[in-house]
Amino acid sequence: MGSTTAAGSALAISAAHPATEDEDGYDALTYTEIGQIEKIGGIGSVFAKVEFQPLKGPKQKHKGSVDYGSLQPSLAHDDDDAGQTLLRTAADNATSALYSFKATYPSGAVRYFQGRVFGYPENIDGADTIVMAAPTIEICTKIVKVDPA
Amino acid sequence: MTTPARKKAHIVKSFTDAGTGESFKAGDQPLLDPGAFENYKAAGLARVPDATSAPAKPKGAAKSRPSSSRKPAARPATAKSSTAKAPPAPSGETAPSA
Repeated sequence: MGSTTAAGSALAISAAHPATEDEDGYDALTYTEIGQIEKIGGIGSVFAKVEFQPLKGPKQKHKGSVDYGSLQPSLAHDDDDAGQTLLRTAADNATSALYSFKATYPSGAVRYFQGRVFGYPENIDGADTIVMAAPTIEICTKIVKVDPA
Repeated sequence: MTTPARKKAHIVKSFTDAGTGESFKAGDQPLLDPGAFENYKAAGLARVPDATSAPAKPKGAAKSRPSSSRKPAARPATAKSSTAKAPPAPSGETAPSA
């Protein structure tokens, strides 16, 4: 399959946890789609770069600790949207509770992970703009990738 | 895989589910899939209905079961099952409080 536009992608959230951190475990959960999303953002882990520069020779670079990354979707704030409401609840939750997420690509590919929502700032700009929100979802588990069926 | 039985819920606040397109009004008592109910409940949008708030609808066609067809009481756990290992915690993390 070639490249594709992002139209049709979706992000959904669940308050439940998978019994196993694999496709079957995540697929067994029920997700509530987060409505009015404009952009989902980058999904993917990044390794820390560990460098050493010897007096002689090239710089040595090693892979360090893995960071599963974070997601900063952009969405039009909607008080009546169930998915957004659960996202706000997750942001307000002062505990370290994890929530499960499912990102669906237009191709049908899926990315599953668990994360914590560190904030849900609402942005009120000029008169001719939409009230937006820019939550931060820190991904805390390995991202489970599922190919399109 | 069997579909889990739907659960009666009490809608606390009006909302729309973008995934299913369904809208619910505060005070409604719809039947929901258990997973969806748990998400709505965690979000503070739905709760278990009060026992007194909505009397059960009369089931016209439903017949009362004879007492002999009742399920036998569960047997007490055997020594073997009582020592069975509990399933591992999903991820060792705290579950979100409802």
